[in-house]
Amino acid sequence: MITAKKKCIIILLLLISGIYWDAKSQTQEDINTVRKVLQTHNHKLKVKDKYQYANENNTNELSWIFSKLFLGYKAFFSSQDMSSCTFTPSCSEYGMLAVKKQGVIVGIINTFDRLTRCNGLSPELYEIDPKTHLYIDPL
Amino acid sequence: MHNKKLSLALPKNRNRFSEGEGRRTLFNALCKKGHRVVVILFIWLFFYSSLNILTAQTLEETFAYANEQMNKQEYDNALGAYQRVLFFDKKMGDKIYYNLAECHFKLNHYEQATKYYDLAYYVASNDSLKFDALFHKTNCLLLQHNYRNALIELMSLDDSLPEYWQNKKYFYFGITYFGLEDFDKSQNYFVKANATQTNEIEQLFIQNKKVSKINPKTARVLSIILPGLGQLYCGDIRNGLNSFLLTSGFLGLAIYTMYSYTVVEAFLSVLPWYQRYYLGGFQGAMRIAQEKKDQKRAEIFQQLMDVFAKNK
Repeated sequence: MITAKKKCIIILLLLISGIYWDAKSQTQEDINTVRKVLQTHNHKLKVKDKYQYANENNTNELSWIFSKLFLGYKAFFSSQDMSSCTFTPSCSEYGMLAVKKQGVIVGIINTFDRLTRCNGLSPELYEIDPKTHLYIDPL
Repeated sequence: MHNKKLSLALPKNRNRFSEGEGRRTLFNALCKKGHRVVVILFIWLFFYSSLNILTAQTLEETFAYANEQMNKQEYDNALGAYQRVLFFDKKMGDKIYYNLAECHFKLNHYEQATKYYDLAYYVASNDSLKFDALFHKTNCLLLQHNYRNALIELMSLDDSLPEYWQNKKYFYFGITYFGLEDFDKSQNYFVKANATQTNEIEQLFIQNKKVSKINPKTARVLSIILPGLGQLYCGDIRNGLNSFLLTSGFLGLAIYTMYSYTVVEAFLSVLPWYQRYYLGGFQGAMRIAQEKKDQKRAEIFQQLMDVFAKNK
């Protein structure tokens, strides 16, 4: 038989555990999940980190120079520009990749071809990227 | 006699008749040999075992498999198995909706998770499960930045909830109002949810008031007046100087062209570039101000969550 004293202790313990449970309304998992609602972002990502691939696969000196020109353009000119390019990847990225992949002469010709097409007058020719809402035109 | 017939019949049949007829002849030959019972038994055994394989996984077994995958945190597999069970037996929904929602949630499919938490709420057998589904649904809505609908969900709860759920409600109200930028209400609810660290919460909301002072429109106007000034207002010195040098450089070049050549030539050759970077400059200032504001706000939010995490 449980005595009245024991009953009191059990009830007291249950009450204490109830209070403790109440205090933990938000579990660690809950908090970790809601942290994602407003997350901090590093907007000030450096151009050379953002376009890391520009420094990769440089097979010759000209390719290296074009990569540096691209990074310089992105850092000092493109960053101050309005978003005017209609394509993804942008014309400057396309140009840099074209020079890397097809060599200087063919790459530059291909870039000029791309620049002449960057006007948004032929939407029927391209698919639209759902993320950026720009025309998809890979190299 | 029979043996001789059989050995002669088979190769001939292959050449003279179609394959089906050949098989029938073999069957007849085997039957004639007195193996009819054995053949029938063999065929029966073959089909029976095939049937057994086909029906090897019952819905209960699929459900058990799904639960097992869920426990192993293989949410993709669990999701497929739960969907299969639900497809064949809609009545199992009350057991499955919540787990389906959990799978979608873990896979970051918040829209689908919201739908299944909603269904789980309606089939929940007791209040505790109902509240749990509702708070998870609210969580999904918050993660989609759908603060208005999250608020509707929270407002559907009674005021006389048990303390555990009441605290949770205050906590989620605090987050929702923070997202809606109603910071006074947000502060009140956060304080109600965590009365032990009121001072820390109040300090963070004082910091938040300073963040509210950053105005993207002010940054834009400043950059319209003087290129780069809006960026400096946001504390972005590099972009401020860059914008100023670029636009003033193009303006200088345009003036030089006007004097050296003609005004028309300056308008046609240089001024479009000036206009491009001038417009880009003040739009950029507005964007930088907004990003800075969002960043600071997110930092304060994370600090608020740290206060609640400390309480654990």
